Amino acid sequence: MILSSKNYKQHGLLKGILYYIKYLVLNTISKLGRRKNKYVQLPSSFLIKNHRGYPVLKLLEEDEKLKCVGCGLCEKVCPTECISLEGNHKNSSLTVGEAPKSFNIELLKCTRCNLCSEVCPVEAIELSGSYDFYSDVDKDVWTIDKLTQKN
Amino acid sequence: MITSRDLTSLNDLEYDNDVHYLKTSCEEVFELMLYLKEHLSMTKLVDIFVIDRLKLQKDNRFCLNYLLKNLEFNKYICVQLEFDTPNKIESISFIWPNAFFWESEILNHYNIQFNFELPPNEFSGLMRKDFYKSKVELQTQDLNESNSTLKLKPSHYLQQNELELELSLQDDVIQECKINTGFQFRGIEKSCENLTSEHLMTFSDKWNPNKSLFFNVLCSDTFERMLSIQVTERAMAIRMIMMELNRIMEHCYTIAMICYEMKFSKYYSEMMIYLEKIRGLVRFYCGEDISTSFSCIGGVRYEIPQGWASTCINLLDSIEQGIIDFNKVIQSSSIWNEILLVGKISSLQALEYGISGPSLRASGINYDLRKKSLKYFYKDVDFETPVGQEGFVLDRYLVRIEEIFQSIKIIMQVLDNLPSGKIISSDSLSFRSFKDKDNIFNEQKYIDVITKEINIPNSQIYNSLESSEGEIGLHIVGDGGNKPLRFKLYSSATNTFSLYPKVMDGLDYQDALLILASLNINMKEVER
Amino acid sequence: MDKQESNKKPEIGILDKILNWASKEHFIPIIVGANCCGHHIYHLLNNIDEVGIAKSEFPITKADLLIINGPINKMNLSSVLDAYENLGAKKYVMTVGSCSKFDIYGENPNRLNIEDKIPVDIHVPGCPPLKKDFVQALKELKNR
Repeated sequence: MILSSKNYKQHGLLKGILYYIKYLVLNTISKLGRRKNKYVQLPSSFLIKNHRGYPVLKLLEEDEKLKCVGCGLCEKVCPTECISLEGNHKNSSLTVGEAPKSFNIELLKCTRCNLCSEVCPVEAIELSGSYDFYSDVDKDVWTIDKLTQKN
Repeated sequence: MITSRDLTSLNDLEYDNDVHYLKTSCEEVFELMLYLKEHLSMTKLVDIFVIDRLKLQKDNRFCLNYLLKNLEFNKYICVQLEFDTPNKIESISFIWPNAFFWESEILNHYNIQFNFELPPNEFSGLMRKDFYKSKVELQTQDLNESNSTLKLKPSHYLQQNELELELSLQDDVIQECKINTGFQFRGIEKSCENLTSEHLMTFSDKWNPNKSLFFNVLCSDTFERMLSIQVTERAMAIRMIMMELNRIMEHCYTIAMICYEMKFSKYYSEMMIYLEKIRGLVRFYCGEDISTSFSCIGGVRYEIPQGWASTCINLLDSIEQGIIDFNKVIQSSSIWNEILLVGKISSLQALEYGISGPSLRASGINYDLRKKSLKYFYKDVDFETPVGQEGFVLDRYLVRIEEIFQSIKIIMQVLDNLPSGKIISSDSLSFRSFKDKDNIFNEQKYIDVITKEINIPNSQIYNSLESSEGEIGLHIVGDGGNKPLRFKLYSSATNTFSLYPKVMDGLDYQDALLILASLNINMKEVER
Repeated sequence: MDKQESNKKPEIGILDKILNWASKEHFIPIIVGANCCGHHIYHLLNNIDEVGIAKSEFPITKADLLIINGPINKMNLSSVLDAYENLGAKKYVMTVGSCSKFDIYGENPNRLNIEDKIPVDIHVPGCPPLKKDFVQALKELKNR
């Protein structure tokens, strides 16, 4: 569609003032009957539920041990290579195994891409943590104790 | 091989695929290009790039590709040269004036000689396969102080253009304009040759953070065409909605920058509030607003949560009413229609340099990629493309406001008829299709796919989309492994960038920043 | 350390003391570098309530805080050094984003180490950083 040439007209100062007054009067009359908010507010509870945080390791409900099985799949998927594992996973089924000896994440390199929680077969890792941290250290490696902290 | 004698055999070309490949030798390139432009009406030069095949141990190491496009039928021709030790190649900037930018980049990155000469750089030969990183040494730069030149840097720190203008003035009128670049070079293409396809999806939204949703869809769409995977209908609809939302955000940003240059700070802040509201919508959907990575190979990663569709419709209704009021108020002023009549781009100049997007439509040419290559559901949706009369800044402003209304119309129609079903197709080669809702795995295949990754076949492909500023495209060349051999990004910001110094003759220097704001060149796409 | 320094300082007049007390809890920021985090930080700065941040633009000679986004090239370095020299009396430097310290996706051959040129006070990690970390870093700056 070709734009109409009404938009290109040039008018002087007096005509502009009259144009604006006409728009003001008509607009206020039509809006007096409405009782609507001009801007719609987004429900804030939804914003907090979906928001991605930092990775957190989860615990079983019964005996407070790690859910993690030690299969090492999250280590291969991570694009910035910040996860390192030491596990005892033998070649049995994916959902059975012992907890790993050590689990280190370099949190300065994590980009919160959500790939590790999609791959995990047991749902042992989740991006829902929010830690109070700022740092001016070169390497900040977080071990199992800090990753299962409850906030 | 096509020599200069049998050029007339090209008249009977049948376009069976989208891209047609031709091979020539170095001495006969110029005649072939002249023939292709005049007789077969290939009006646009899209891209020039080089593939380095050191690993494959073929006879000729380098392969130089020229990609040309016919606008009427939407077909491409790719001319290939192969050579081992580079001689001096003739440059084509006499035929297509925007070729100079690509050739000077190839001279810098690959050390291949052309007709012209440039001063050497310490990163020359960066993209070759046998280049090792040495330590960067700082050299002190001497500041050039000359009385007649003026150096202008961008005035607002939010304007994401890092370039330096050198203007030579005479009584406030511009005589000559030179641009210094190099602030935003990050070496994206070299690092993409070491990433597998799954990791590329998470990297694709950092190439340009304003248009992260467009580049996500482009990257996953190219891989799906290469591996011939069919996407489900629900995923296609969600991708369309996200692309149109990103288009509205970009247009609001450009209009806010025009208002900022004209010192209307109230209208500037009003447009930025609309931008933040839409960004909150995207954050409601997938948890992040800048680095989303919402699409993957085979579909979309996240499901639409409950309550999203109704808030989306209410928000877009209020934005539409707000922009109608905004347009009426700002056009009732007496200076807006006069001051914005600068920076004319004629339609002949626009076709020669190969611009696309709303800047092309403001000059009078009716061309939109969404209507030519009918992807996803664009053939079923009812919308129009606005066309301006001349090529001033006022036309680009009016075209963008009309495009916001058309995008809102598209989103309403898609949300009315959302198809149901799964979001990831069952024949995709990624690990998500081997996992059921009840957590039942096909365990051997699951582990295999994650450890070995998807293999890219031994072929070459080009795919393109219409973004808010023009055409963006992606070349992928594979060699059978799981990492690409060559990965090339193209965006139409490079063409407007080479046109921009020619528009400035005889203007005041205060108009220079106004024209730059209306074109919306993002230097991250130009320099990668 | 503070006692030794205060012994060597010249005497401060009454007006200067009042100014120091008044500007104890607010910042005047300048942002350098236009990478991904730039947009994000601009929207964050307009919405922070716990720390006072100036919202309109000030010239460089009256500013306090220098925020650096992303990796710095050889060509960007001159603008960073210019801005650092022209800051006011008190200077705070903050680097934002993980790409200013590490090469995240493969090697970036252009990136310079900023810490060799300018003394950096604090670093905020993340890609892009969360709002909570940013506010925490601003509060911590007052103790330096």
